[in-house]
Amino acid sequence: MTEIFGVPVSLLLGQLLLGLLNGTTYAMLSLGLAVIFGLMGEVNFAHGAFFMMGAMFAWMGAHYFHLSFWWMLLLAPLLVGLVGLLVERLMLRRLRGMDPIYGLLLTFGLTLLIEGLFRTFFGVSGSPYNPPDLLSGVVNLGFMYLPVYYLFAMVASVVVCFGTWLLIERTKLGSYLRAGTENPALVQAFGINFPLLVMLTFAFGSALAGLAGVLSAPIIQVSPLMGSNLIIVVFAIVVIGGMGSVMGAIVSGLALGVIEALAKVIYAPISTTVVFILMALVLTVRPAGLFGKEK
Amino acid sequence: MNLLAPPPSTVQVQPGGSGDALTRGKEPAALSIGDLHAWYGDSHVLHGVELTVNAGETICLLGRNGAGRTTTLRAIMGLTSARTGSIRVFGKEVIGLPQHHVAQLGVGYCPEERGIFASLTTQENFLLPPSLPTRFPGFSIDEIHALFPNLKTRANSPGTRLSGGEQQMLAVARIFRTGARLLLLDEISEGLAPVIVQALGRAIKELKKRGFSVLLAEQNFRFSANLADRFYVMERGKIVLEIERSELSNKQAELKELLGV
Repeated sequence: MTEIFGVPVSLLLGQLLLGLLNGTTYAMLSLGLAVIFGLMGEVNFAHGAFFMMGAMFAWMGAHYFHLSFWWMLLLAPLLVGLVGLLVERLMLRRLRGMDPIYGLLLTFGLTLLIEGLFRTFFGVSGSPYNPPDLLSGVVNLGFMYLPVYYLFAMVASVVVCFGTWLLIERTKLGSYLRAGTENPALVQAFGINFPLLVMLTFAFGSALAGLAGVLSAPIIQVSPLMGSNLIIVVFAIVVIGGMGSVMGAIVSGLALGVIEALAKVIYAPISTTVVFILMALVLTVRPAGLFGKEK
Repeated sequence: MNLLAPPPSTVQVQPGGSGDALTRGKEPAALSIGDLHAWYGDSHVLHGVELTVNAGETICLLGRNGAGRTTTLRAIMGLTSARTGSIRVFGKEVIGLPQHHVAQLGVGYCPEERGIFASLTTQENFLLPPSLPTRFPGFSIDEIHALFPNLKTRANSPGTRLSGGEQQMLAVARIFRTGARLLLLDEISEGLAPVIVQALGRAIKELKKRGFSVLLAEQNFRFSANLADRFYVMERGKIVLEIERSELSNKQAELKELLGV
C-alpha cells in the first residue's frame, strides 16, 4: 500500500507532520486566548500582534544585540508579557464591567497601532531568522527529511501546552483561576486579589503568544504582518474548542493543524477554508464549542 | 439614574442598647453597621440598616423573603452595586476598601447560593479560600473533617457532584480554616434534611465555643432559636425589631406577626 486517497503515503505522512507542527503553534496561541477569555470574558484581538512581537523581538535581538536564539527564547516572551501586563493595567482594566465589545475594539485598535509601528520601521517584506546552530540540520525519518528545529519547536510547544494545562488544572494558583472564571465576585470575597490575578493572567496569555512567536520565527518569515495572517484562524479554533476551555484550545489547535494539512493533500483549494467550515458546523451542533460548557 | 444617592453618613453609631451589656471589655465589635443603604443598579434595597455583632456573639438576622437579609450580608462583602453608611469590621471601616480587603480583616462569607465551584474538586473547593492574616486559630483541617466526614470521603469528586447537604457543609466548612473570626452565613439551613441541619447546628455551637463571631441570615427561626444570642428582624430593608435571647418567650407574638409564621 503506497497510496491513500490517491496520494503517496510518504507525502501524506510528511503533510501530517507539518500539520502537527502548525497545530502546536495554533494550540499555544489559542491556549493563551482561551485562558484570557475564560477569566476576563474578553476577546484579546491583539493576540496576533503579541505573536508577531515575539518573533520580531527575537529577530531584533539577533540583529541589533547579537543575542542568541536561546536568550531570546527567554527574553522575548518576558517582554511581550510585560507589554500585555501594561495593556491590562493601563487600558483594559478601565473597561471592566462594560460591554466586552469595547475591549475587543481597544485590542483591535492596539493591533493596528502595533502592526503599523513595526511596519514603519521594518517594512512588510519579512526577514529570515536562522535556527540556532545546535538545532540546524535535518533528520531522515524514512519518508521525509525533517529539519531538527521543527522537531524541537513541536516538542517545546507540546511541553508548554501541557505544562500550562497542569498549572491550571493541578495547582492552587490554577484553582484560583478556575474559580475566578466561574464566579469572580466570590473569589474576591474570599480575600483573593482578583484584579491582580486578571493582570497576571493577561500577561501570561500574552507571553504565551510571544513564545509561540519566537518558536515560529525560524520556521515562517518574520514580518509585521505574520500575526494578522494567523490570528483569524486561531479565533476560529478557539470557537471550535469552546471559548475559555483550556483542553479544548489545545486539542482543537492540534487537530485543526492536522486537518488543514490533510485538506491540502486531498483537495488543496479547501485547505484555507476548512477551519471556518468546521467552525460553522460546530456552532450549529454545539454552540458552546466541542469542550465548552453551555451557559 | 442615581446610583450614588445620599452622601455617606458620618454618624458614629453606638452598639444598640442591649448590645452594650455583651461587649467584652474594650474589644471593638466584630461588626458594627450604621445607617447602611445599598443598591442593586437603580433599586434601593437597604434603607438604613443598623446592627452590631459583638466579638464572640452569634447573631441571627431574621425576616421574610425580600426583607434584605441577603443584601445586608452582600453589602458587607462589597457585592452590591453601591452602598453608603458605615460598616466597621473589628473597628475598621470597610466602605471604600477594595473588595478583597474585607476578607483580609478576618471575615468568612458563605453565600446563599453556596458558591461551590463546578470546575474544582471538593478538596480544591475546601482549600480555595486563602489563609487570612488574623492569627486566629479557627479549626484545623482534621477538626473540620471530624465535624463533616463526607468532605473527606468525597474529596476528589467535583464540587457540584455532592448532594445539596454536602455542598452546604462544604460552603460553610471552607471558611472555618482560614483564620476568619467573623462568619457571615447566609441561609445555611434552607432546604436541607433535618440530620444535616442538626450537623450544621452543632458546628455553629462549636464556633461559639471557639470564640468566632457569627452573623446568620435565616428564614428558619426554629434553626436559629437555639443558636443565637440575639435576633434582629428585618422588614423592607430596615431593622424593625431587636430581641435578646431571654426575651424570646415574651415577644413570640410580635415575632410571629413580623415573620408571618
